[in-house]
Amino acid sequence: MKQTRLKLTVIAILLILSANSTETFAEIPYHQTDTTEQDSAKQERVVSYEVFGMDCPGCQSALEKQVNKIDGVAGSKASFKKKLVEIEFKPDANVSDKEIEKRIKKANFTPGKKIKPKNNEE
Amino acid sequence: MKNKAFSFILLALILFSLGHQSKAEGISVDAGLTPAQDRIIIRLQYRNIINRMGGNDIRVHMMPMVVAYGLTPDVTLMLRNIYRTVGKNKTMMEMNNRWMDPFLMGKVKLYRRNTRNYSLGVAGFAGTTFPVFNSSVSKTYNPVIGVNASYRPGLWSFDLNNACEWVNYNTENSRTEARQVHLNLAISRNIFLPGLENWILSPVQEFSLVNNNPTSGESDLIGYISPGVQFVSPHLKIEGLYQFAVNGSKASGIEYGNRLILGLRLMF
Repeated sequence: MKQTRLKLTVIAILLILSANSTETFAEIPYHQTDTTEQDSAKQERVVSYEVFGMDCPGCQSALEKQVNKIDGVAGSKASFKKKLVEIEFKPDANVSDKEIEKRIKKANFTPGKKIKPKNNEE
Repeated sequence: MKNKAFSFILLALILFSLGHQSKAEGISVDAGLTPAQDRIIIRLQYRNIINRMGGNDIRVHMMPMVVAYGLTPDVTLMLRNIYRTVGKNKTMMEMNNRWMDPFLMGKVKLYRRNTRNYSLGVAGFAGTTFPVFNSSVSKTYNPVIGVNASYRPGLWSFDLNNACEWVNYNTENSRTEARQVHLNLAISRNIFLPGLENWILSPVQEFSLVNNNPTSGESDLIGYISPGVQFVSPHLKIEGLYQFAVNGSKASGIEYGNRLILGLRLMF
């Protein structure tokens, strides 16, 4: 009887532990996968360009206005301090480098090199 | 594009319908650089001007409004209009509160080079006032041509403006015609403000020289030494400048006094 009780207690403890451990293991990989997917998706949709000629915060808004006109651009953030513009594309957007460079020139600035290559052009 | 050009023309016509003469030395930091295409800049200023004539004060408040539009990256259109109120006038000169003649100007990019370390720009401009309300004494045009140059190494800015203005051009013989040469150098430096990522402080020092050559009579040479400050954000610029007058000659009998300039610039 005592042995049966002991066995049942051990089984119960093992079940509780295994249930907890399953939850823990299930949570971490799920969370990690989700974060990785999000980062990956963000990287695919964001590109940065060096831009020369900006010298004040007013230049930033002038450049952002031009870049945001591109069909497929969800938003942009220019920085005269860092001399670059970060452009976020809409999902499934297909924007060429030429179009971006054209818009930078329309703002009277000079495009430099692309900092992060687009991963979604496969 | 056509709609935007039409909008600007419409805006110009509205301002023309309000307005009258102009002049705007002081805080011209965008001198040799043309703004981006489709850029709209609205500049509002208040100027407190005190001159003396024959020992009597003339205190005038000028409120210029400027609308500039980047038609293309190379061409900028600008319309300026000034409302004048007379604070104090103890001279015999007749002056009223009124809108001055509107001024329309085009600026064209001649050269621009942007590198990692500096920007260099040269732009030419031509403009004139239009005597649409005949509120000026001469009731005629005041054409202006000039060349501006800007050099921006790092956080520094050097802007040089040169303009030649034909005051009272092609007027009746009874009115004095004059040719004015304006020379203006502005030096400023950007200072980052801790905790305010999108704002900068920019102290400015300007040096201005105006040479007034009437066709009859002696010429005037007027100088201004003008310290100022600007706060700049992506869509707003707040400007303040105090012009200390340095009078060379006073051939016309007018002693030019100090001026205070306060301004707002909205950028879209």
